[in-house]
Amino acid sequence: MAVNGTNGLMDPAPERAKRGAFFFPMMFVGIIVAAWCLARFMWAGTSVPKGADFGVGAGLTIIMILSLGPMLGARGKLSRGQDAGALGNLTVLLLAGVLMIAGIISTWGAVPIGSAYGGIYDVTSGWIGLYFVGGVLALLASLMKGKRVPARFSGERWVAHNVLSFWGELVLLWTMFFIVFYLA
Amino acid sequence: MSAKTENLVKAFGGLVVVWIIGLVIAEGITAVALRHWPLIGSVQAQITADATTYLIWQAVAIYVLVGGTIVYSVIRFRARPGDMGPPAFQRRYWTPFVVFWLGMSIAINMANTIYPGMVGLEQLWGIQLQAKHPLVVDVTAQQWKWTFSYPKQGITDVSQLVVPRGETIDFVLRTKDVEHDFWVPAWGVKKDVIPNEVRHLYITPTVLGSTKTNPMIRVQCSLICGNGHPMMRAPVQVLTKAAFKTWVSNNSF
Amino acid sequence: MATTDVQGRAVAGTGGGAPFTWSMVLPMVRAGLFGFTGYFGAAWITAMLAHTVIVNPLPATIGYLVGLLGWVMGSGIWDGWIRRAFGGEESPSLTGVERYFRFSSDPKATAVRYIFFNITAFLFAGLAAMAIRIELLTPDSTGWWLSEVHYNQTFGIHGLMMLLAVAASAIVGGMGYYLLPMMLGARTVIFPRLLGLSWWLLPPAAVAVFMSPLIGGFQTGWWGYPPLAQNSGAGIVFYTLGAATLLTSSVLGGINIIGTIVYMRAKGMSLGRIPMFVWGLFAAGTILIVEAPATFTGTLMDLSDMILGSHFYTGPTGHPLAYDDQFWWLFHPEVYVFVLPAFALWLEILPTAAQRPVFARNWGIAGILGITMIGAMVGVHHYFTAVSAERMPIFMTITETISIPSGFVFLSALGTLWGARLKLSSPALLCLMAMMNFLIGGLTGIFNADVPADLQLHNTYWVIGHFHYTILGSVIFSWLAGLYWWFPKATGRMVNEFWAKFHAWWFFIFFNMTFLPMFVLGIEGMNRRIAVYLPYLHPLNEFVSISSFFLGAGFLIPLANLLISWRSGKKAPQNPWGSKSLEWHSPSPTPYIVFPEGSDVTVVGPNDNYAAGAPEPFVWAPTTAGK
Repeated sequence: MAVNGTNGLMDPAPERAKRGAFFFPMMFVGIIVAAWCLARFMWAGTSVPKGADFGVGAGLTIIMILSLGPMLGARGKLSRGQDAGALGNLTVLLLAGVLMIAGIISTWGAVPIGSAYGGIYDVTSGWIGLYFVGGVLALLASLMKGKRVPARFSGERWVAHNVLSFWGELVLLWTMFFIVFYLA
Repeated sequence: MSAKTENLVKAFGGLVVVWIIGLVIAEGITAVALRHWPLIGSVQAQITADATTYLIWQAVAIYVLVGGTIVYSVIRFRARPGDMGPPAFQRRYWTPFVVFWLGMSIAINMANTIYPGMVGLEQLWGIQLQAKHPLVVDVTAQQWKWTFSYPKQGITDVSQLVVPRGETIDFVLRTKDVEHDFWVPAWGVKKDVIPNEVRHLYITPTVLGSTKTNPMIRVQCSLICGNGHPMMRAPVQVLTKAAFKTWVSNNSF
Repeated sequence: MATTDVQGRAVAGTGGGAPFTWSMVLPMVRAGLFGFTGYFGAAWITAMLAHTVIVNPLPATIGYLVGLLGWVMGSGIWDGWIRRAFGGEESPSLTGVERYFRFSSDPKATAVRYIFFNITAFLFAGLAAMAIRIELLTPDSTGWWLSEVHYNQTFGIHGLMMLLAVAASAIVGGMGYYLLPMMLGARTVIFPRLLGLSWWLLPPAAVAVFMSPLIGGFQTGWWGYPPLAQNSGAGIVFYTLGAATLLTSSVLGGINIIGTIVYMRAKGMSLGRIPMFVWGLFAAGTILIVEAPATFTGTLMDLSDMILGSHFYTGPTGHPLAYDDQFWWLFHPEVYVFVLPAFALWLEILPTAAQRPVFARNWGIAGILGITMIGAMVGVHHYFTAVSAERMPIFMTITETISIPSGFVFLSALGTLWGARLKLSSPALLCLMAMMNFLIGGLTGIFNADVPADLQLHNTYWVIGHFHYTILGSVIFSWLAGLYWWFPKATGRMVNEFWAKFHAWWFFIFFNMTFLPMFVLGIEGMNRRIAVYLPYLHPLNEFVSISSFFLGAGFLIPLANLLISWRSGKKAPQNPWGSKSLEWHSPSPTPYIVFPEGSDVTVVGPNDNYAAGAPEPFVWAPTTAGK
């Protein structure tokens, strides 16, 4: 039996709750990366081997820090209810995400995985890469929803907000990753 | 309400009787059972066995006191047919009980950390520190056998562990492949053997015997190490110092 | 009791829907088909590209990941979630029987599926236990029963499945997800689709672990310790992936638990009025979110050493002990994920049965939360024989401290029983038996916390006895108690009380006959995980094995009891136990919409006031506009 009218009743959490509770999964995915960043010192001390691709790492970090602009812009637009305007910012973030995935893949193999640094680098960056895949898919979903059914996009604005929160976390995690793996 | 309170005091009297009877029976059984403790074959085994038996006495007492209260309450305070309504006694809190419980649980904990915990550890470490010139035995574990070498005696790669009684032995533990665990049940302590690391285990055997006379005197791998794990044993012989010297002279190069 | 006008009101969309037809099972069949095809397709292609065979670690890993994706996609997650998330067509909510066989955002349907999954996993993992005990009937049964290889695989599967596919979600999943929103006065959890997804991760993981012998099995037991993990069979990839998947599922549930408790409590449901059971769930969820990452990363690094050629734990530069640290970081607290909801269950059921308020309620909650916090710091006691001397006294002290908050739970329970008028129904009986068993489980744990005693007892049958007392003896007893207690809530019928009590006693007696002798076996020098033991241990092992067969066979009783009572049990009254808890305010069996539209609950008092003539703790009022 199918009922259409109960969606609101059966998913009644207000936007504040949906956005607030999203920080619990973000905490989980953040602790995973933090654990690996700590593990880097356990396995590879503080030395960064010669082969490490510093240039690409630095470039990706700059992209991520710059992406804070469109992210904060989108947040502001969503808060003011300018949903159509926020879609442009989401597109920029989507492109940045694709670039990040490509960049991460390009750094693999610079240091062999069998070495202490290479192993922890590849696992950690690979895992962050998975986050970016998730982020890109989420951005794509929000974009498509915003284009196809703007009313629903506005009705559940918390989804877009959470996607942006996740992007913010990605910026943080990637910066931490860069500091730990290239600078520390 | 006062009548009810009196009733509960009487009930507590019954509980005390249950406690006393229960403690006498349970600790009596414990006393008999502990007489059948398996072989204690080293100074270290005495320390760990003392810790274990002390904790058994204590655990039995706590089990009787707490478990007895549960059983007694269930029987004493059951709802009788025809009297199914809620009891008049509806207190949510009774400070003396809570404070007593809190105090006791903290006290037992601190006591246990000191004895047998820290005291036992200090004793074990003490033997290790006092052993100035221990007999060194190199133990090599691999899937799935033990080999023993006596570097100072010039004995290498024997498959049987032969040790003198009354001398502290420094077992130097290494593994060729995966993790193992060096354990002689009669000697009362065990130590994991970790790849890429060297571990020491100090043991002072006190009882003569061999695997043939008592299966507790055997080297047994005690950490899962693959298919041959259960059979990863080695025979042990504890000899007098004189007999050990003879054995050394017969086996060294 | 608990007769408000809410129950009488008709609700749109609660008519039960269409009767069951076999076509409703199709999404589950489709999921299986997609998963099966995905696994073999991906594994075969990978094997071709890598010039190897499909049972090798790498093809198995890729196959598993693709198979998992296929299974989840086949479950109906596409039209239930993803299509609409990408702006596609919105599919209607399914409110009838069909929601049990496909991806559903209804937490009740998810919870019911959890119960079926847990029971199935329990039966299969229980059969593995029987196989283990048959092996140990004689000192060396490798000639006529399992070889050492098969024995090692069997206890590994038994351990991992009993822990992660049964204990981890038995109470939290089956009862917790069903009751959490109801007990808080909410109509659903905070992320219902995420919760729906959490169930669909379980079956492929369990199937992979059970099927791991087909690609070579794993010899490590449920620990997966490297470097043994990497050199004892390709089945370890199913172990690591299965464990990681099951943990993810638990975490998705934990997120919902915490989020729902924080954001979706009814008006007036202050922290002091949250039901005890919800506090237990809160503890479990917290542990999972904060501590699961350590073990999650550990299993993936173990896998990486296996298939990608890294050397975290293996080779001359590896640190095998680092795995122990990561593994036990969660997996010690994980036992609190199992047992804290069980503790909370006692404090939920016993007050109703005793018709007394929870005694020293705040201390009980402090106990549950105290264990949560201290439990995060004690994992090292699982490998005292491996650590350096300075770690021993530190972790001994912290571990022993755990018994103080654990004691608070008993303080609350004892105070509740004292002066009560206890109605000894089968759930209450099972709770009390669980308490008696946990007492032994907890007290024997002190031996393992105490380093001198542990140096002898570690990795012996003492440990086996200890954790079976805590997990089988108290978590599974409590699970049965909860199943019987809320059976009328979910089905509208009562469980047969005679057979429930009969089995409770059967279980209690044979459980103790099986596991009490294990403490003696441990003292007498029987180490764990051995297919072959020395003949001097034979008599006691024979006794244990025969007792365990009775114990195992006994589980057919509750299985039959639940099934028969579900079909033809006595019709349950609205509130069969006279509970004051909020979940009994909705009709039984629970309709799709628990609390009807148009009225909301306000909590005005404690929900455990059983004094004669006590005021109702919950008041229903029409929803105020502009909520």
